[in-house]
Amino acid sequence: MKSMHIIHNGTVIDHLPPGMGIRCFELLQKRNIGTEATIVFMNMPSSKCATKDMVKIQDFRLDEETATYLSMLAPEVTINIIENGDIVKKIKPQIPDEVQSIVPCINSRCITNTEGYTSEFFVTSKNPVRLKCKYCEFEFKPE
Amino acid sequence: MPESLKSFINISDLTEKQLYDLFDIADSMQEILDKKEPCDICKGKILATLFYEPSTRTRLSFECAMLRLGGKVLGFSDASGSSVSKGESLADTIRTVAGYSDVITLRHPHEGSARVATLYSHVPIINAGDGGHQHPTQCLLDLYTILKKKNTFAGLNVMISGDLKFGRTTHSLAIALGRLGANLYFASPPGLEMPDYIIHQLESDLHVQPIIFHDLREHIGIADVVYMTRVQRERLGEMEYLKYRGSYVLGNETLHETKSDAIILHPLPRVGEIKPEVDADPRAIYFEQAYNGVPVRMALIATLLGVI
Ligand SMILES: [Zn+2]
Repeated sequence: MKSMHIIHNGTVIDHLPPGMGIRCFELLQKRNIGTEATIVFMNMPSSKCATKDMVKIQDFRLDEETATYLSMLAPEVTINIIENGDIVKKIKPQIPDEVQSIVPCINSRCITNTEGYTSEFFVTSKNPVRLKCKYCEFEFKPE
Repeated sequence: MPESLKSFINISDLTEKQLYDLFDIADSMQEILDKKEPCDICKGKILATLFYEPSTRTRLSFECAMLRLGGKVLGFSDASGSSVSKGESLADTIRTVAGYSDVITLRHPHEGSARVATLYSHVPIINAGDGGHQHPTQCLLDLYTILKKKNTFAGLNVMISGDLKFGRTTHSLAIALGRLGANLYFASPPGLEMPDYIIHQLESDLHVQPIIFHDLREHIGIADVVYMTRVQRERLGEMEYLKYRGSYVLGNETLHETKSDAIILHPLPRVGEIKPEVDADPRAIYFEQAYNGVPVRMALIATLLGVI
């Protein structure tokens, strides 16, 4: 039973808040990455909080940009890259003060949503994350 | 002179010093206007007015300002019929027009468009309204009018009334007034209150504690400045609109409770928030406020062109 959970090569996305496991899976699919064999763990016991979700993806290496993106939605997230059964890299994404093009501006009237200009944001709060568009100044919680 | 002013997109881009410098220049522009003599401060310079949506009032005020400065104007007042309607991007239009002019005034329906324009222009951009987001020259002339009448912002009781949720230009006015030391009173129908993030910014960044209420009559007695804005019928729904009508409409009856030296402002055009009977009252200065747009815009254009 336990062996099913172990991946020898791949990525473990850990410390997702309950409910974020499935969201995380869907978001990666939407970005057309992490389409390899995936297990989503839900409501796992956690030392940090009551329960957590976790996502394990076989034969896949999560890039830094996507890691930052996930941290915007789940600031506590940690990412482990596994090779030959060992953790070779631990990513604890640092939420930057400014981000570019990671999500579209949520304001439908914003110029960045009309003619393909790059979206750019100031991070006004880091936990929970709030973004403020550099152009229309709309402030929102990324989803 | 505000040296580092490259474009004018957002009222909060100005430091307090730049703001007061502009007001000083506006005063001297007023003197020029009073003399009624030709002026050549901007001789040989061209102002482009790119109005992607019609706003005759604002466009005429800008064109008047440039013509009074001795410059020339070109542009369009409606995007249909121009290359814009054929789908040219804002970036390309700006690149082209920057070659024809020395300063560009932009009115565009999309929020943040003026900031985008600065990325593609080597000449200064003036934001003449980007959707519901900002209308900083309106804010500038509002502040100028208040200062001219009251000599200071510090400790002034300013009431802003109307749709404070969707009327985003009231947001930047509120922040600017908070920065300058005014006390703020926000009157709006239920559901159209000033958004939380503006309140938060006022409280935590500027240490201003605004008073929030639903009927302008409640605090009108202590207001030094009453800033009226529109409430659109469709924002409230018919029943609500009729129910709360009295709480954000100013008539002589309400005016009676107002301080004798208060001033009544409105960005115009109004749609019934101020009854015509109020116009004759000396406290009603919204037409003078609109007129102040000319010296203020003259000051801004001259400053951005570096000719003063
Ligand atoms: Zn935006």
